[in-house]
Amino acid sequence: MREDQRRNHRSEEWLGGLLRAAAQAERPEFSEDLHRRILRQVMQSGVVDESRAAQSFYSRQRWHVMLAWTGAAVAVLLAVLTVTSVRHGGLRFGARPNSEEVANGVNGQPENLSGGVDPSMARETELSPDRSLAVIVSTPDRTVQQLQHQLTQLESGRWAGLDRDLLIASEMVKNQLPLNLVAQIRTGEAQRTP
Amino acid sequence: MAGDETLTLLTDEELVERARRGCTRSFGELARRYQVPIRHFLQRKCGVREDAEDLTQETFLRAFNKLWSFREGAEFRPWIFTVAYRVALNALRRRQWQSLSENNVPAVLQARQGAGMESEEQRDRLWDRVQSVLTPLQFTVVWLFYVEQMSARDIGVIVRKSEGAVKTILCRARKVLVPHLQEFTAVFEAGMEKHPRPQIGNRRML
Repeated sequence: MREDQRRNHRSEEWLGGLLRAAAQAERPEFSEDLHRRILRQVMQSGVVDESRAAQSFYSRQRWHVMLAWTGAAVAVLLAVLTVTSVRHGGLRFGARPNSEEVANGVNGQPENLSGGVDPSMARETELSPDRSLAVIVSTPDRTVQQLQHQLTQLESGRWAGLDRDLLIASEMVKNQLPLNLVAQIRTGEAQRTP
Repeated sequence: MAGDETLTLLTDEELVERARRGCTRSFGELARRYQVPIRHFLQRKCGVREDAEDLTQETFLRAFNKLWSFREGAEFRPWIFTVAYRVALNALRRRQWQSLSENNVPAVLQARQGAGMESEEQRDRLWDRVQSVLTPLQFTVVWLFYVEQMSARDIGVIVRKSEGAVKTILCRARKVLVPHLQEFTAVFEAGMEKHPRPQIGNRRML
């Protein structure tokens, strides 16, 4: 083992010495003519190089400015999108399923869950929130069933619970009512008001 | 401005710093220090002596133009050899294309076979033999390690390899070289005993 190492070391020394000596033997001599040529070229290119360096500096600077502007534009765009999405209740990533279809198809509920509700009244309620409120106030015994139906439709229409439009709509419906009525709707009690 | 005597006392990196600030004489001093090793390397790498002068000139000019990209704290020696190595590779590629377009044997091959050498004696030189048995990359690594005595790390920077890869290349090159050169020196010594050759100039013939 040691003998091998010693032999390797010796052959390494031999090889190194041989190569160095051979290279030394054929080493070119310093050429004053070549040196002058190099200096002349360097002197000539000196001015050009400064301008080149400046050009590259300015081009880099210009690139940085462009990058900054692009970044600012993207930031503004993102801000606008965020504000818009907050105002309109979220960005829609796909076609939203029809709330009525979902309500009927998924839950298997009939369109008119409360048999006592007049279809024409339900249609009116769907069309205009103000009128629906008028109906609710005027006919308190039907109110709970009617609203429960509406809220069920709204809640089941929310795809995976993500649709903020429907959430806001249901909250708006609830906010129009007195608190005890909302509690009744949530618990599903259909009681007649005195 | 310091005189040329003062410039000789400065380190390479100090000279680079001064050259970057516009002192062309400092760069001149660097060119004076590195002209011979760079020219020698290029001459060996590219094979043709006349081309080596032009390539040396190109190397220094390119180095001067790229001096602004020289990192502070880096060593100048590996950096200038990196520039020279790139210049050599470009020249070899260029020459190969020219040779191919002229439907000739590539000049690189000619140089490696010793066909472009000045005389028969030159073909007998040890480094020509080394060049003929090693790959171009192995040759570069061996040259930088044994002749320029650079570390494996610095060589790795020049040839864009890791330190470990450079050591592996060196190890393989040694395995190829040792038997070849033992044979070569034995034959040469036997030949010298029969027909002793006179020395040309101050060059020792092997």
